[in-house]
Amino acid sequence: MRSPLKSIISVAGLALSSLLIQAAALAQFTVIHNFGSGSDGFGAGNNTLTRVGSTFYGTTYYGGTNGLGSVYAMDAFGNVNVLHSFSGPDGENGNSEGSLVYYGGWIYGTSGRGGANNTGVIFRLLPDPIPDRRH
Amino acid sequence: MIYGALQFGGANGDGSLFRINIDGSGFTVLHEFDGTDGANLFDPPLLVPPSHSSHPLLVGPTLVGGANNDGVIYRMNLDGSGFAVLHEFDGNDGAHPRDVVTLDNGTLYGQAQFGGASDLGTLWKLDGTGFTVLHEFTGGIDGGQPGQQLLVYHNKLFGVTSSGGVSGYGCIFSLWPNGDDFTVLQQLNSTTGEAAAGLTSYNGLLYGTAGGGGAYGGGTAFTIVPK
Repeated sequence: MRSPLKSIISVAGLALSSLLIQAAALAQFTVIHNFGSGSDGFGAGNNTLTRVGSTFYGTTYYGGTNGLGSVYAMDAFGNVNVLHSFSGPDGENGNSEGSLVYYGGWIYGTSGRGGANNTGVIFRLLPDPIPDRRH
Repeated sequence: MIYGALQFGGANGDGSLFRINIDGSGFTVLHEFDGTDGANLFDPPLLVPPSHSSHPLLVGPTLVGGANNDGVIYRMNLDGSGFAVLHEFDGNDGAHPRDVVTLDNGTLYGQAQFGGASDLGTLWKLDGTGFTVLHEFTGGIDGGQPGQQLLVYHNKLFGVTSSGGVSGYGCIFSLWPNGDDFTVLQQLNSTTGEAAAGLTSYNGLLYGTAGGGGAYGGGTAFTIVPK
C-alpha cells in the first residue's frame, strides 16, 4: 500500500518527470535481424547478448530445429548462425534468465527446462568458428 | 568456477545459490533461501570484484521474499559465508527487483519490475549512504515494468522497459547515475520488436534483442545509437 503522503509527492513528481522525459529526438534505431524465419529461433528477448570480440551470442525461447529454443551467434551486421538447437534431454527453452558466459573458449549457459528431470540443465558448447577477441 | 542462482528448489523450495567447476564437476549449494531472506531467484548473482570491495562478493536480487515479500538485495562471500540482506523492498521503493549492475565507484544500480508511485517499477541505487530511488515509472511515455539488465556506457545508464510507452511494448531509455535527464531513446512496437532484453555495447552502438514482433513475429536484433 502506498501512503497518501507518498501519493501527493508522486503526483507532483510526475509532472516534473514528464518534462524531463524529453520528447526525444529519437536515437537512430535499426533492426538488423528478424527472428522466426527458418530455424534461427523464436523469441530472442530473454537475455542480454554476450559479446566476444565482434561476435554476439544469445539464445531463443522457442524455435530452432526442434522448436525448443536455440543458441546462436550473430555478427555485428545481424547475420545469425545457429550453434545449437535444444532437443529436450540437452535442455529446453534456451537460457532461462541471465546471459550466456564466455570463458576459456566455451559458451556456458542454463536452460529453464529439459534435462533428466525436466528442471533445466547447465550446459557449455564450443562455438564454431571460435570468436576473434581482438576487436 | 561458475556461480549461479536457482529460482526454486533447495531445502525450502525458495531457491538457492550454487557454484560449479567449469568442467561440470563439484556442484555445491552455497545458500538455500527460506523466504525471510528472499525467495525466487529470477536472476543470477553479480560477481563484485575485489576492486570494489575488500574481497570478491556475490550480490543479487530475489524476486520476492523478505519482510514485505517484495524481494531483497543480498550479498554473500564466494564460499557461501557472510550472507546478509542489504535491502528489503517495501513496494514504495520498488517491488520484485531484477538484475543488478555496478559502476566503478562500487555503487549498485538496479531495477524493480513493480512498486513505486504507479506500481510500474523503479530504478534505484544502493551505496554506503543508503538506498535511493532514481526514477519511478508511470507506464506512460517513460514505459513501465523494467526488468532487464542495465548497461553502463560512457558513465550513463541504459535500459529497457517491457510495457508502457506509446505502443504499450516498452521503450529504451537512458539517464545519468544520479537520476538526472531520464530520456526515452526509442519507443518499441511490433515492428521494432517487443519485450526487449538488456543492451550490449560495441563499436559506438548499443545492441539488443526483442522477444516478439518483427517481420516474422519471432523477435528482432537491433542497434541503437546511444545519446
